[in-house]
Amino acid sequence: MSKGYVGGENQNSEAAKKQIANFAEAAKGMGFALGIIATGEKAVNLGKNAIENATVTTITADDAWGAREGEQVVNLDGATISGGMAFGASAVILAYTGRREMKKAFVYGVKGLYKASKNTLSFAKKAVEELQHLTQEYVAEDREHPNKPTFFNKVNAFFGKSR
Amino acid sequence: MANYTKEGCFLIAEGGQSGEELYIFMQAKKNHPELPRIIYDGRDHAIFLRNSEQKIILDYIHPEIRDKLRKAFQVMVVETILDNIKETYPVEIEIVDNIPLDWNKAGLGTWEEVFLSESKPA
Repeated sequence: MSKGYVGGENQNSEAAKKQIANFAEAAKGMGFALGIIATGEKAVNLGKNAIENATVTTITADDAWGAREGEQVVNLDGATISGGMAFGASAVILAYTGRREMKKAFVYGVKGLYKASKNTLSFAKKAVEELQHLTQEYVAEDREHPNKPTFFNKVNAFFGKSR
Repeated sequence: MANYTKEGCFLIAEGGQSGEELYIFMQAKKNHPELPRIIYDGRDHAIFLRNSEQKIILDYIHPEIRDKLRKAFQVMVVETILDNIKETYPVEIEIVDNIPLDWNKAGLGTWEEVFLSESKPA
């Protein structure tokens, strides 16, 4: 759990408190959770969050959900989301429906894909840059194996067409 | 002091795999940074030279992070719009013995004067 330290003379205003919460959310999106924020007045314990509580296991060949072998699975609050699956799911669903609630799944998915690599800002930028390339890789692989029970193929079957 | 602005609210966070990296979160600014650097003397305030026109005072740096900030060669500045990241960039820290500015002219005191006096009961 990382710690944050608030600065600035306006930090106790209501607007600043909302801004600090935004900073913490932005930090979460970057892959590190600010568990405690020290202000001029007191330390605010934000409590544990899903990222901090996440457990990571590696998928074996027996996994039947269509997640690819070798991927890492991020268990968030009891819901298991494979890195590649969450990434692929969110990308596909975003493409089909434009639903913004998949944003968090996307973030977790990208984080899962790059779990083994360095957890720095460059990871976030690199993840965004490679998003399209990885999506196309998954899509191409699934199109070669239309009977494989992957999420993309299930979505295609549901919509009755292939994108 | 006329060309300086005070940040007013920012967050210095420890991050990275070892927790040794420092990130400074602040509200997004206009234009892009050019050769940004932070000048710091280890005390209450620092100067963030974002570009040739933007000189920002990082006012009232929390005492518990000052030592780590003073020892850092570089920090990552994260500019946000609400909870979205507009841009991030590395900024070198230039440590000096004393920042040659009169903080009183900018209406700034010491961290202890402002925050410890606020916490005292009336």
